[in-house]
Amino acid sequence: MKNKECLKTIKRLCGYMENDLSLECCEEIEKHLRECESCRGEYSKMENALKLCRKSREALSEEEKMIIKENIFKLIEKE
Amino acid sequence: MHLNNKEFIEKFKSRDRETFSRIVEEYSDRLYNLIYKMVLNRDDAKDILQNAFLKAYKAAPSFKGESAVYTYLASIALNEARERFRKERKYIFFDLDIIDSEKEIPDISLEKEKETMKERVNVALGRLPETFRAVLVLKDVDGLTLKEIAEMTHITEGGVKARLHRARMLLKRMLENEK
Repeated sequence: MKNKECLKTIKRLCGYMENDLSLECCEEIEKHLRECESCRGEYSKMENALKLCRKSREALSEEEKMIIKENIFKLIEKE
Repeated sequence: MHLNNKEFIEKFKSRDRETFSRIVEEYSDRLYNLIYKMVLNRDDAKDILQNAFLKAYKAAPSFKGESAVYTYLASIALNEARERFRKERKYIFFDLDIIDSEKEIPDISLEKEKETMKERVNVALGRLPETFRAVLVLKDVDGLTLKEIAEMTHITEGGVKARLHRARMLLKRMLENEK
């Protein structure tokens, strides 16, 4: 069951991850995370989701890149 | 020569082909990834990438140099992707009213059990409304700063932070639901 402190922490997690909060706020959040297993779990899930996001890169093959580049320069020539 | 070097930027602005060729080589991969995560379709992403480079080349003389070359390109690519969203509407899955209901995130687990990590992320991204997805992709996929995103999207930094928070919460829940 989440209490007011949990809701306040969750609301500020994003700012916390961005180092966008005052030192005092960060300390409050860290204190709450140490004490609250549920919020610690939420924080960890959020971190994992973002890690997955960063890792899941899409790539072009060398051939595709070459074709795209050729197309761009062909279109430039036409202009 | 560094790509944000003054001399390099001047050459880019004068549409020097060699300079532009280097820009295309340097940024194709990163831009493609950014665009793909917005439209989630290979052919569309390649098409948008090509158009974005072309637009950037044409508009190069008006590049003010206030932002980095990459941010300028990403901004054009993002607008192209958004235009595609609006024209085709095929990428929008549900509206904000549903998002605002805490319990109604669709369960996407059933058919997706064996998908790879990349596919899992893409499915979750595909369920985010465009404005949330854009901010999340720019920040957490592409690594731009809040300030850069605010400039690119014409939203205040506070607005970017609020959307990013919402987008991350939604992404987290979608990836959880999917397990």
